[in-house]
Amino acid sequence: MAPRTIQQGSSAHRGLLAGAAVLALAVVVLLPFVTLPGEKWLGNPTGQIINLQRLCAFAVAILGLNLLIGYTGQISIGHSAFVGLGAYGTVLMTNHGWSYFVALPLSAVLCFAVGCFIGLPALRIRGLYLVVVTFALAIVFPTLIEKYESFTGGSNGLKGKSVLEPKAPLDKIFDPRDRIDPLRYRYFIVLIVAAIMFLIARNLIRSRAGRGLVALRDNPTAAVINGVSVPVYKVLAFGVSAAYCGVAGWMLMARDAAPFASQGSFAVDLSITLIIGLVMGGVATIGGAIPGAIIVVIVRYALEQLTNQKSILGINMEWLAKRQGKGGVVGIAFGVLLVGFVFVLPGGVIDGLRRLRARFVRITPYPSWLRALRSSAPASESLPSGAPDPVAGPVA
Amino acid sequence: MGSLAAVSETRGGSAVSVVQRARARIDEIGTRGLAIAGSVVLVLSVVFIAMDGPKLFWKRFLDGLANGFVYGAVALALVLIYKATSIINFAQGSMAMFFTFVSWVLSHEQGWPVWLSIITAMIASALVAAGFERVLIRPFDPGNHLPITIITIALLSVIDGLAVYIWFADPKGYPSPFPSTKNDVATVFGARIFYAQMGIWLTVIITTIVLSLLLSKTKIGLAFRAVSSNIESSRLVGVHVGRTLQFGWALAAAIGTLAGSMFLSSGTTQLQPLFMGQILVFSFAAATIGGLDSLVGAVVGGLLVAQLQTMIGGYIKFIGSDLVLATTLVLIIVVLLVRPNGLFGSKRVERV
Repeated sequence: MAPRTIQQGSSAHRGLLAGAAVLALAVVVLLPFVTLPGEKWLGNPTGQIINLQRLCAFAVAILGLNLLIGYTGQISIGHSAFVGLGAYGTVLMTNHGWSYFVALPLSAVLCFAVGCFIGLPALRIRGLYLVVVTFALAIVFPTLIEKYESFTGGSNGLKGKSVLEPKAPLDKIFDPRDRIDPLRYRYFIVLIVAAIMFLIARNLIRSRAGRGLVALRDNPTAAVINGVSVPVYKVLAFGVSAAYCGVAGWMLMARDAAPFASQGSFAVDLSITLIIGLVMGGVATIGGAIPGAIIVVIVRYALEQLTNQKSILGINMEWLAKRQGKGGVVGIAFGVLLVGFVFVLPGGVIDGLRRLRARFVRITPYPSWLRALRSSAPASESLPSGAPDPVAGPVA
Repeated sequence: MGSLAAVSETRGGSAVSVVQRARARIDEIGTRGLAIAGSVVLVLSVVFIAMDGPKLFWKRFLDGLANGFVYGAVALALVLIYKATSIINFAQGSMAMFFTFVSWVLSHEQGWPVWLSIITAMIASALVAAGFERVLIRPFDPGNHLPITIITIALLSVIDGLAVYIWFADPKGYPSPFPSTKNDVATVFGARIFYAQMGIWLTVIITTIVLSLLLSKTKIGLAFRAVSSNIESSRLVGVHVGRTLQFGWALAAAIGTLAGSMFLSSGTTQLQPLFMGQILVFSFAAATIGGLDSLVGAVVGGLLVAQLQTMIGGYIKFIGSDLVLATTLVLIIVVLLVRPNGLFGSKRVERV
């Protein structure tokens, strides 16, 4: 079947975008109200919503990391520390009596500041040396938490006293009995925060700053000549991606019915998990963070559940469920999956989806400058000779 | 700097040019890096000796030495890979851990002599690493680092998972290839050294010598140096780049395996799937501080990092044992800020 061709900005294209948006909105709003079949590997109804909440947090963290790795080309394996900082900061602030909604911007700002500070060496240290610096950060964070035990709870972890719950102000408008249950309430809060973070990232990348970052990645010399300030942009990129991870840390705590920050969950493994999600979702894409997060949260959870099953699809799996070292299976599966992605789908899931869509619908670009040109003058005269007429049809 | 010296020499060889040439030569062999490292160590040593007396200092120095050689060996492996492929092999520690397990299986379960099992495991790891290089690394453009780095992260995940699956997470005693009873102790200037520790020093020193001979005297060593210096040019003069890089990977894996079994030989740590984690961190630090592309730098860096680790932990009380890692890494960042290419690393000149 020949793909259908749609011109960018046409009513068909706008309809497609609107349809996709409505569908996506419907899915994310309805998901917590339906229980997906397959409790064996997706978890019970509560577990499914918890996974959705974690999915949002991981998507934001992966997005933040992508702003750094994908858009500025600086590899960091230290961002677990920023997620941890956001989480610990949130718990400390809420234990101090502040609201979660005060803690959100504060932990973002905190991580932004620390991220900028950590980004400073990046001006002088490059490439793999920088990887080692960020690695150091990831290693040091848990030890700092352990050292300042009186403040952070040390290796016992830090328990949050207050939980994010639907509050009274809404009761004046709605009957308290209709109040949404806390679990779904937290999901929607986390979801809205995630949506805002995605919107900010999209606008950031399309702005002057975003183009500057990409230019700096692709050709630093040319970028400098065109007026991109290397120190400012590099440090800000680090800070912004750290702030994203801080928000993800906030989300991990805010979503929890019993907020608990433990230094073990913010170790290097988390950074590696984020990088895995980043690559599988799609490097240097905004949307890639979502499939990436689905893989590292939902697929991982499903794999962990599968190793506990006695039989899968009628195949006897008792030998695995009984085995002491079955925890290794998830790591093996993820590694193999990652290798598969790098070989088969180096652009990640997003690239795969894009290619899949291209088989059915082809969107020809119709940039705004061309539209302005065409509306002001006859097309045949104003277009350079040899350039394809975008209205007449696709060339590729 | 070298070319500059050459230019001034052709003009008649003034006193300035002689100095410049000498400086260029000093920089080539990394003596300047050694001088910086040496002076820092000297100053710190004087301070530490003044604090607690020479005897304790000497004891701590010897304690740090064995670790330093192990870090140096793993850093050597990292540097080899870096020279070959320009990436950091995140799977280095896991590969070393896995094949240390293999040597444990051979010696502990099959009853082979310890040395024979270590050497067999080294050969096996070299073969497996060569296979990895051929299947997973070579299909990618050597200039594109991200996919290769991701592949090594994937390997780390697979190998760690495999080790947990096969051998579980509980620690196991590792048989030492050196005499290692309580009585196998020598006393040097009032400090006790276990023979096992000396064995580790010797093994790593011999390995380093063999490695440098291999790289400087053999044909494949020459090819390796050529490829690590310039892939395109060496391809043009007929070096089989892929096979040479494969050689680098195999060599690095074998050295890593040796380093892993050496670390366990001192008997202070038991064998379990995560035992290489901390070694890898310090070895990263060692390789970085030495400059990622210098073999000498790797060993010196390893010794330096291990001494920092022992001395800081021992002398600076408020840091204590918890923050040793943090302080060491911060110091390394400071070193990198002063010398972004490490103490012995070569400068990268960017052409516009």
